[in-house]
Amino acid sequence: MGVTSDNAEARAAEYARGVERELSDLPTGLRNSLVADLAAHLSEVNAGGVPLIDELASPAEYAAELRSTIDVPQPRRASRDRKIMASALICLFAVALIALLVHSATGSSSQVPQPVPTSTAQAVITPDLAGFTVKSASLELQGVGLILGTVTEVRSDNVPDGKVFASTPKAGTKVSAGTAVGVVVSSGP
Amino acid sequence: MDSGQLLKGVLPTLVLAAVDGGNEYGYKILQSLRTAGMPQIGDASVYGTLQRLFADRLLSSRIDSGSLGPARKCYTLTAQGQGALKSGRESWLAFSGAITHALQEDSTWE
Repeated sequence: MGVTSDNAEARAAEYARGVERELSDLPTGLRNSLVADLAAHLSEVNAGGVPLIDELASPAEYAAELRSTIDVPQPRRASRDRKIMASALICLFAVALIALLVHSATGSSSQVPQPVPTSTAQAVITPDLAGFTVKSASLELQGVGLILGTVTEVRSDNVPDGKVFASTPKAGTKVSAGTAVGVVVSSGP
Repeated sequence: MDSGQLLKGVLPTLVLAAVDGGNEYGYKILQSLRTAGMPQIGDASVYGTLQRLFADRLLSSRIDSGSLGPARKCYTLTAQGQGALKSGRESWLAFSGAITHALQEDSTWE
């Protein structure tokens, strides 16, 4: 069994990449929150005695269960959207790679954004949370290095029950990492 | 009825209760829920719930870099998490009591 642990970790990492591909339509922060820990989680659970790597269904099914758990809609259409998303992802990856190279060239080390404010507070642009549920807004905010602040319920004839339609500070505002962003959510008509 | 749908609403409370009961690692949380009468529960449901509770600051985490095996993430309830567990527990007990009563075959609807 001991020999297989590296193999299990490699399979967990590959599986996590598969799940990430299935979530490629999600906003960056939300996707980051969902997949940042996934490979570590899978190999940890596997090593803990649940034979997870062998019991898991396809990455697509895992992604679907994940979406349902955190109230994120299932993807609408597969093939054409997926091609667009794939090329968008490649562009994003290229940008990230360049950013990483530039960043490492300047000598500072960077970590995945944490909800806990770091001592060197980086500037973050608040995301557009319109249409998110509170659950998914919280994960999106965490993924970009912010936290969810006060949730205010307001009656609305136009916005579906449970959907966010405004935030404070509003979308596109430059704030420091770790800032709490309040949301206004519809409680229906 | 699909028990997955029934489970969805209480899963955050169940995960908080599992962590509060001393199951502080991901695999222990999954195992404890499965042995507590939810053998079908999927890892994605538990993992997704953990991520969400963490983002909502109901759970905090630290990494235990053990000498054997991979590093493990250790979860603890925050003060906010303790509050959410208490209210989640209370509302489930009230709700399930009412439903059980209403669904009893000899219950009267008047």
